[in-house]
Amino acid sequence: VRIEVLPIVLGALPASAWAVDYLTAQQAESLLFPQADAFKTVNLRFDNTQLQEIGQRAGIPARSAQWGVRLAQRADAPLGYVVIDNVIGKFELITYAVAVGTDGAIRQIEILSYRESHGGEVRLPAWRKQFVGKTVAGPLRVGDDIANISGATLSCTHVTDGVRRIVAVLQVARASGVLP
Amino acid sequence: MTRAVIRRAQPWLGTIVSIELAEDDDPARSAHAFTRAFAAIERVHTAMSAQLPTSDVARFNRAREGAVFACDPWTVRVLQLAARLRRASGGLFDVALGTARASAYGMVDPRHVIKLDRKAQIDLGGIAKGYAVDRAVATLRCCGIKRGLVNAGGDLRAFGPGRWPILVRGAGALALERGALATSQYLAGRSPYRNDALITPATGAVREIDRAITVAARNCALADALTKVIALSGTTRHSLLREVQGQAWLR
Repeated sequence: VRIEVLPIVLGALPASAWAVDYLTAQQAESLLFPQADAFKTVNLRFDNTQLQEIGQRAGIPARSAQWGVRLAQRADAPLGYVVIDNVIGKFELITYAVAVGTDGAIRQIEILSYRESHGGEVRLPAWRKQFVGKTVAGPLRVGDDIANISGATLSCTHVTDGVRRIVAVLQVARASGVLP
Repeated sequence: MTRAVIRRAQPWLGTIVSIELAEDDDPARSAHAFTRAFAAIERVHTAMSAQLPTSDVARFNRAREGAVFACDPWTVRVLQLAARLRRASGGLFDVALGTARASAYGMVDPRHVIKLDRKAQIDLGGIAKGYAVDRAVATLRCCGIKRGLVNAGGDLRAFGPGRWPILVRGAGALALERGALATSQYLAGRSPYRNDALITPATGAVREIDRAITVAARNCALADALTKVIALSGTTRHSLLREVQGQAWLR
């Protein structure tokens, strides 16, 4: 193991210091349904009764009456659905995509991006001095050059809740015949 | 320091696991490696999550004393490592969190474990994430990936040539080359999450620790587990660290 202390641009740490992008929406779609030859947008709109049902199935409120679903198709036959959603954690905003098959089962979950709204990471120069080794030249920018954080209390609880809600949204939409 | 990397992330092990690979000439190789590495993470999650009722851990906790049952061989390896670390740390690292009189379990063979203490309840939360990172790294190398980094919510490991800049929360930036880094934060009285290491295994007493511990080690399971040893011993010069050629920082 080799460890070195790095200088950091303090000005590069505003309140919303952290952003890591993993996939674009389009990349996620083709990754989640590589067999698909077309994706069609279906805009769902639920009434109050349906929203209640979604809430009951998911165990959390439906949150929105409108949902956009991408229908993955191959030769006009449906393969499944991709829903892209945002959840807010304690300090972070997570964008993720869920792929659900036409059988209603979750196929895969991919994180699209992760943004931290909590800054001020470099406050303890005395602590940093404990790290032995030579400082390297060239300051780094958080988010640009640094994509990894150690000691994050990152939780995926909100993603898990969000996925449950999306599964319920798709179930209710399919029951009503809006989705194949 | 500029480099081309490709990144993917999925929610596993109660956190977000991200994998970064040096951009490959062969995109199909990277795609295959990502799939295989996330499958390894999923396997650890499925076997070792305390929340999943079908996991090896949940089945162990429900089992009667003397029960022998089949486990994922990876679970058996983690339990073996945990038993070694428990002895070497004088009980500071203990996946049974003090619920067992002596040994909570024993290894029957590479696929079977015996429960030795009726009251024993295990939780692999202090080592499984690190182990998952190690398995993912091994899988990536197996797939022919030369350079990459796997990060499971702050327990991370880099492999291959070159340095990876890492931000250690509340502290600063480090460059990591060929090795693992884990950080545990214990904020006395305001810990936002359940915290195993706040329990002193020998006495079951809850310890108030208001510190953050970062450990560097050759692999991530060790780094992960050692943060708990350092937290409870309060020293960065613990003999176990020297044994594994690790480094630790307290703040």
